[in-house]
Amino acid sequence: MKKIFKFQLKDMLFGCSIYALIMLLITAGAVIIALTYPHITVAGNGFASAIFCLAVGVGIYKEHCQMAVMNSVSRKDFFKSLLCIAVIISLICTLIDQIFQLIIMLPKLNLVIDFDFTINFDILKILKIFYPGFFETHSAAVIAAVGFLMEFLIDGILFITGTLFAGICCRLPKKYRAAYCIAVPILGVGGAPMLFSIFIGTSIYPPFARQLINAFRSAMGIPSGNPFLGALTFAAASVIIASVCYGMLRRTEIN
Amino acid sequence: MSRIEVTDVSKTFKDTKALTHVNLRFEENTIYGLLGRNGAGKTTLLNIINNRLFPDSGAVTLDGDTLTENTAALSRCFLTNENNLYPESMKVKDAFKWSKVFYPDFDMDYAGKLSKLFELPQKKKIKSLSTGYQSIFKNIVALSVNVPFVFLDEPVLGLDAYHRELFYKALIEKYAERPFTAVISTHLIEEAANIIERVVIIKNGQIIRSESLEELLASGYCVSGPAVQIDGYIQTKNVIGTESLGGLKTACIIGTPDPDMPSGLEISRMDLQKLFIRLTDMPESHS
Repeated sequence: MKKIFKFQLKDMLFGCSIYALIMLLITAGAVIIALTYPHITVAGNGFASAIFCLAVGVGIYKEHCQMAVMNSVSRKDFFKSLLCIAVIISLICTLIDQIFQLIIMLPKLNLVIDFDFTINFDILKILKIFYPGFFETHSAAVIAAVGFLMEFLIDGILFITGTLFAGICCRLPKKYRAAYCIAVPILGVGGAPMLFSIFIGTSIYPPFARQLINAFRSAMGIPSGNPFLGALTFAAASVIIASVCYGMLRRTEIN
Repeated sequence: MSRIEVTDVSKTFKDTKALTHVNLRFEENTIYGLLGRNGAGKTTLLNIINNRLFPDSGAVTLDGDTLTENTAALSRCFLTNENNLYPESMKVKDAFKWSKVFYPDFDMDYAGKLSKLFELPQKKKIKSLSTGYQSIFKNIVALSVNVPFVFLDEPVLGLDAYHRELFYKALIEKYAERPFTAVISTHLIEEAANIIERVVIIKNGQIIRSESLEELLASGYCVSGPAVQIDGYIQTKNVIGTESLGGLKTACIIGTPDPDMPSGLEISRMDLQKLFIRLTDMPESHS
């Protein structure tokens, strides 16, 4: 496992460096613009790291899996390595995101941060909406730590989801792959939110929709104002998605 | 003695039976020729041995340890085939470096030496190499990994005659210097016949011959002469094929020549390529 881990880590660290560089340039640009034109508001990084993790998960899976199998590494060892990489990359991305978020929020820079939810948002804003009580009763350090933990888990879950999408694609017969590659982003970005909005908004099945929302809220610890329950749910979801991903991988044939 | 054992392996792709109850052994320090017509199941067999495909039934073991999903056992094997599984952006020199990571006995100096000999540009991306140079690159990796079992699926694909000769020479030199098992799957039988020690012939997913080259060639003979005389001679023989040219006829026969051959008939040694064509051309019951 060590050999493929070394390969994956080196490849990923290079990718993360590029990502960090791009984020640094964006942050620097934002700082310069905001300092030059004080009336212009600066938005946060949003979920850049989460999107990066999803894209990386989708992008590396096939290439790294082929490299592993070609170099006599079993799929099981490759998957173990992939999980370690998921943890490391999620940690690094969360760190990068949080550092740049902190830079933007430095008081000396005197930037006007746009807290308008419709323009941009970060993890802390989301948490504040879901767990207002927690924000009132805990110190800034604990809140920051919870924010870090949640962002790390979101990055991790998206990385694993990315590998699952790629894993399904690898298992599909070639004739269906193009349709799948087109359908997944369309459904993910357009179809699913639209269906969700129709389902919830018009309440076609109000009792069921209510039950679904309540179940989600309970799983996320929203009624009890406990973000750690949400973190646990994310962790459990990651384990489930990772198990499905391994199920896909273990019988994947490479030729 | 290290050995790879293929036991009762079958594989089906949709409605195509690629392999049917294949039983086979690859002993250490031997050069094998894996011969078969297009679609016979050679590549499928090599892919199953090297854990790239999974058999529907049966097992592949190396010294008793399964090769399926077993990194420790798999690290003693290396397969190159026509598919390029290296990352899109990887350069030749980086592939050598990573090969050294995955196979600690990978000989960087030897790989460098062969690259110079074959004029392989190390700074180029693997994907940008021509078909011939991609084959050269994979062959160089295969010859430098220094593992006990190396599987070469169509190693001379796209190679010109000069590079083919260089490759066979390098393979023989490497084998003499540090013996290993090489399983060469190829259609260029005449060229490979000079280096292979044992022959495995696969037909329609079944192994029809697995023996030493000498034994295989000694299992039959060719007899040539006037057509009328040949027709009379072969009446009671196990003929696997005949060729006629004008009034002359040549028949390939399984068995040993009679001590008292009729005058006018000439006996010659069986040729591997001809034997292969005959064996793979015959109905199942004869082969």
